[in-house]
Amino acid sequence: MYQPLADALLDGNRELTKELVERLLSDDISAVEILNKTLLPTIRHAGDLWEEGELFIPELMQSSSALKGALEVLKPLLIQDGSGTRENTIVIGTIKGDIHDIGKTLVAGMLEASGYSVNDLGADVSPDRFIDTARSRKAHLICISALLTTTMVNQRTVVEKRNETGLNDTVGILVGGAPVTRQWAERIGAEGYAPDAFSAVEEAARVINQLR
Amino acid sequence: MLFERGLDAGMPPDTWNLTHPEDVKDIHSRYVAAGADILTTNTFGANSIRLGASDYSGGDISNIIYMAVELAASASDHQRIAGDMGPTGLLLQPVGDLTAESAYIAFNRQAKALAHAGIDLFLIETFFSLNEALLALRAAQDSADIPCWVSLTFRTTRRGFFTIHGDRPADSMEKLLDAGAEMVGANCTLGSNEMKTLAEELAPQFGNRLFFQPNAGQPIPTESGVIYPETPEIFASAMKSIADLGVGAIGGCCGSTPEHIRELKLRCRGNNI
Repeated sequence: MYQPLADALLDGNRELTKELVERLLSDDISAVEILNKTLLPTIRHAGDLWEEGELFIPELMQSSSALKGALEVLKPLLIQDGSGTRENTIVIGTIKGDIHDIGKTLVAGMLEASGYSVNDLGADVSPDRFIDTARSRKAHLICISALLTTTMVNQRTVVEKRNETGLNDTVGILVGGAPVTRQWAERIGAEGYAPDAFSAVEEAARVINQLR
Repeated sequence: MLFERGLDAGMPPDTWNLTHPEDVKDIHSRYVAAGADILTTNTFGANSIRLGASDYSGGDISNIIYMAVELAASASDHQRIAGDMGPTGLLLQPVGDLTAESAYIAFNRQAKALAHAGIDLFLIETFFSLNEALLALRAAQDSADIPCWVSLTFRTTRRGFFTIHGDRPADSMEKLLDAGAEMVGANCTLGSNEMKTLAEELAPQFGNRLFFQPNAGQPIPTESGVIYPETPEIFASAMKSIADLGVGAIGGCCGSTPEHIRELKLRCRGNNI
């Protein structure tokens, strides 16, 4: 864990975050290590601070921006480091009605780090947009994040539309987000569930392999 | 209740004033029968910013607003009509991209239409940013000389109640009252028992200037939609405790139904509320 970078990220200092990431890279620390050892644990810590009532939306938005800055710098290197599953495409986003995106952005970064080709649609994504993008990009997996119980019911709509358009054999669906559980995933017919960014990568691989 | 009658998850409920007026009026009538004193118009999202972000392309928002007020008024037999105004759904600068000016304009237009249609009070509710609530309050005050009730949404954290923006309850109530709100309070996110804790915190200082509308518990997602677990009895029991604190008004938010209100009225018939 590189503390100055963790602090910059938590402070929401985008410029400093990017600068420190560059510095670590020039010291031969790998992109994957920066992600796993500093960025991820820091975002997890930010989540704890949110629960505590120490951090609020303004701070989280800044941290999200700083995280995106860090991933901008890391992305080309993550693609390079990746193990060559580049031919597998993943579409990811936060479901319609929901603007939460830090966790989703992290998962996108982790998946990219693992060598997938990732289309991050951002937040507030309609079920139609998930399906249309998955179809046009010939995706193997759709990852849907939801942070609100009121929006997570729409994850089921994506599953239904996927089934209606006959993509069930070619596109798997993985759901996640704080209120989401494995039971929920099973009830709505999603193939995969991940409680956090770390396990999302393994689960994505499992679901994609099952499609074959 | 509109979801039960077939409202699609992506469709703004406000549009049902035009497309399903009988359903909207029926719901108002059921609240009248249950003993409600104030009816809230189906205009929570009827501002140009929120409707602009949705799939709605049906034209003039003022039609929705006029119809909404008309439906509530036609169901009413002396109940007061509260013109509902919810947040834009966007984040104000500097946190997000929404300018104070755009927000003000959207709220002011909505408020003018509501006032013109004939409401008795403005119900500015479910705001999770004090700054945005203050803007909506000013916009409503500038539109007409009608009382404004303002309600924020707080969540529970280990350090206490905060809005997601970090606004604290007592400080927020003070600022809203200073800005001219007639009544102030909290609604949504919290179930009735958590709301009771918040009410206990605020009642000593603000007394009958307060109003509370909690959810009927924490939502539980199911394949067919979200369900709220608090029965009318559980809900009314907590609300009775809130009423006993001497607050000015009580009601229910997500998951509450005419049955909840009926039970509430029964339990609180000894209270001046």
